[in-house]
Amino acid sequence: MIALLAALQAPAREFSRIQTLALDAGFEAHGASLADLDGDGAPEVLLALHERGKDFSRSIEVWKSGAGGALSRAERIPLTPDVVAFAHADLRAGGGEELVLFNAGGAFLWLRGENARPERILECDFLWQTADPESAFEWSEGLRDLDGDGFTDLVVPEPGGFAVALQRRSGVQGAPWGVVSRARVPEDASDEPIWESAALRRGGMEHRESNGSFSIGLSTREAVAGSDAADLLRVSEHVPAPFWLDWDADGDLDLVLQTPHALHVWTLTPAGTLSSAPQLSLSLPVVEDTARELDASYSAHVVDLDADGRADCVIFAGDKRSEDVRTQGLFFTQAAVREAAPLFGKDGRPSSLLVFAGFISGPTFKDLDGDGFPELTLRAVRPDLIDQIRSASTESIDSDLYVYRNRGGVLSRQPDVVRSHAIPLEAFQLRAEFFGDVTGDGLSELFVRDDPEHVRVLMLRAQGPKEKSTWSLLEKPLWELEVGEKARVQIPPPRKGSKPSLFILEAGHVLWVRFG
Amino acid sequence: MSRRVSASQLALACWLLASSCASELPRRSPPLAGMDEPLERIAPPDDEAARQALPKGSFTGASVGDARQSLDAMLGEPEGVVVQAVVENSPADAAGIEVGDLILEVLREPPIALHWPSEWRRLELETEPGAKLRLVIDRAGAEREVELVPVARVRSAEHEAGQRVREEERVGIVLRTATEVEARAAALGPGGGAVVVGLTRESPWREAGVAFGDLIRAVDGVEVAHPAVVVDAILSGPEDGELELEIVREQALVTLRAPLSRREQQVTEISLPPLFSYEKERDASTTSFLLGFVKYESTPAAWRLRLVWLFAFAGGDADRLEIVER
Repeated sequence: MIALLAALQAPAREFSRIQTLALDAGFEAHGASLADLDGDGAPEVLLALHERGKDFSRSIEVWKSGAGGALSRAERIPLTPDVVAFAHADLRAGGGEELVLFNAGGAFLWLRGENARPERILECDFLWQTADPESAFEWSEGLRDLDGDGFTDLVVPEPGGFAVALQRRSGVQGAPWGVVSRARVPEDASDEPIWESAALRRGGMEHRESNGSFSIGLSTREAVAGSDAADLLRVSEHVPAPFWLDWDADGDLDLVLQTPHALHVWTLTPAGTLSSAPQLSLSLPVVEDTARELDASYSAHVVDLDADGRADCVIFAGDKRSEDVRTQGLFFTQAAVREAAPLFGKDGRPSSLLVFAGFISGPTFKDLDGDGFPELTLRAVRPDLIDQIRSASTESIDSDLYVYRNRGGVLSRQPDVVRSHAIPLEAFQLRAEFFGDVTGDGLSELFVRDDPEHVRVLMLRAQGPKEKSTWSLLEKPLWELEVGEKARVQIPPPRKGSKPSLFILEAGHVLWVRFG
Repeated sequence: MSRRVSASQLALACWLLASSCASELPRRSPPLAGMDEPLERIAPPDDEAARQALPKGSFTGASVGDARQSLDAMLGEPEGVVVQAVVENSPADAAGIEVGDLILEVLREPPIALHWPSEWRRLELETEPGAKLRLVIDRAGAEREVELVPVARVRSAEHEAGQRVREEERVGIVLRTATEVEARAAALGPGGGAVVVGLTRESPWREAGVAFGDLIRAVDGVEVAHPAVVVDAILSGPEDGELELEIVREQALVTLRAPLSRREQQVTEISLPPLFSYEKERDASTTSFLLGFVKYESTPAAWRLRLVWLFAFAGGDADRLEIVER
């Protein structure tokens, strides 16, 4: 009865709260994230800004919640022209998160407020050697605790590999980043072709973080009118994206890199070092060869599927032997290998296989129900996609979102959730991703932007007893908002103990949407 | 089937629990506590009328700023001053100086290397109109010499907002940029000089005689062309070292030797599970006996005594002030 009365008396909590961060005239936001810089437990909003029409006039604004939760600008940190990227993490173990700035020559801790000054924490050749005159991007993937000692470590992509710096408890005062290793990527990774893009054709710089790799392209052209101007200089640097997960179940994170022909493994030693060359190089059973470049479905992922503390591998590739367009998902688990080389075994046979009709894209592994086993989410397009585009018989193409549940390390044979989307053929990308538990039922909700002017949150619902429950997506949105066609949506990484949130970056302002 | 838990297993479990709960050691010393920043010192004095009345000096037409345009450059002293604006048809324009040029040096006997904008402003004030200034400038990496002939300034330069800088690891001090009137009285250029507006209670500089309102003119013989010069000297000085401060106090020059401090060491945690534990963080401490059978917590404002996990006595400052007998 008391509980009932308390529930009746409790004020109804808003499902979502939208706060507007109005930018100063002439400024535009390129990125937004959350960081608890003052260590009070409530995160501040960081906005990466640029002043329109002024090259290298970039800054980071810190917005803080005041009385009643109202947000106000607390600080604007101008970025020097050499700053390429920024990140934030609690590097000093206490007192809040710190801001880290990267330039071509290394990583710097930025002391804020009246203490404003940089402190160098790592000297290295950052892969992206030149700064974008209009934006500094966030590179928080580079800050993570690799050895599980509670201190944030640093991973910086360099031309040809990674610089990895570990903080140790026994670090000498003033030089806590004493353990620095450099992992060099074997040569078969350097086959990456130089890409073409509008920016590079004009003569300029572009950095990319896609298709499982980090790349930078730089071109300088003769100042000749017309399109025949030749490149004076063209540089392309490329390193594969790192997977950091425990390879050998020893409790720390190891480095796994996938190159076109092999999977390379560097295991972290108890002293916190990585060798220059990989300890293990496993030939991929399905290589990313020249023929595969046309395989739109090809991707390889390193993930711990069965939560045994050891990395497994999943490769998606078009089935070349089939007459129909279909894609195979090949699952290699370390637990299934009894002899010979780890992971891929003696003959490279997968421990299980999934077959999808048509092409697939964007496969991700994310634990959607909090049981520790990652679910597989991917999008599939119909086998007749190419005919459909060629005939231009329709203004949209159909794409299905599939969710495969992971029960104790084994994925369902059939998708547990299917949702169809019609994507306009004009330049628009469907965005559908599970972004966290909004409702508090333990299941992650789906964020969808399937038309440029609307963003929605759909509820993932479980029905039936826990072991045999079925999942479905409620079609009626839990939350919906009309946004500008050019609005960009950013989903900040989940923060411990808080509900998910979204940033919507529009001209002149940023909306911060908090749920729950 | 039930199993009995032996005392050694229990002790092991307690030890494992205690070690898994151990908090991370901080990576850096906390900021020095007890910073005093008198309210009347927070804003610089309004001496604009006095500034307008000061001699105006020469006019070059070049506005300069901090040349540290990269993180690496910010780790050390700037080299040169960067030209941020050039007035059309001004002496700087006539000399061919452009926005973005780095003015490195003034060629005279002895040559003057420029590091901070206040040094350029001082040069403008001290150079007679019509006197030639030979400058070394750096344009896109190539050094060249230019000759600039300033003219008489007819209007005071724009007022420039000051800055506050803080050092709270070794000395515990807050400084603000001196106003132009204060700086020029100390024979520094506008933007130079550092006025003490905050000190920690245990700051070694208090004991050395540094007081609120003191204008630090030089540190170890180096002119304070920007408050950051003082902070850099503090941070780069040797442990247990001293800095020689040249201070302007009530229009008189005072020289002091001010020590750089070393922190006290303190025990913050003692744990003898399950008999005794003691923890101290900043101003709060917790003492516990027999797994919390008797537990005492205290902060500067409150205390609490807990007995047998249930019975508690707590107290601390009331919400009223004591009546002070005069």
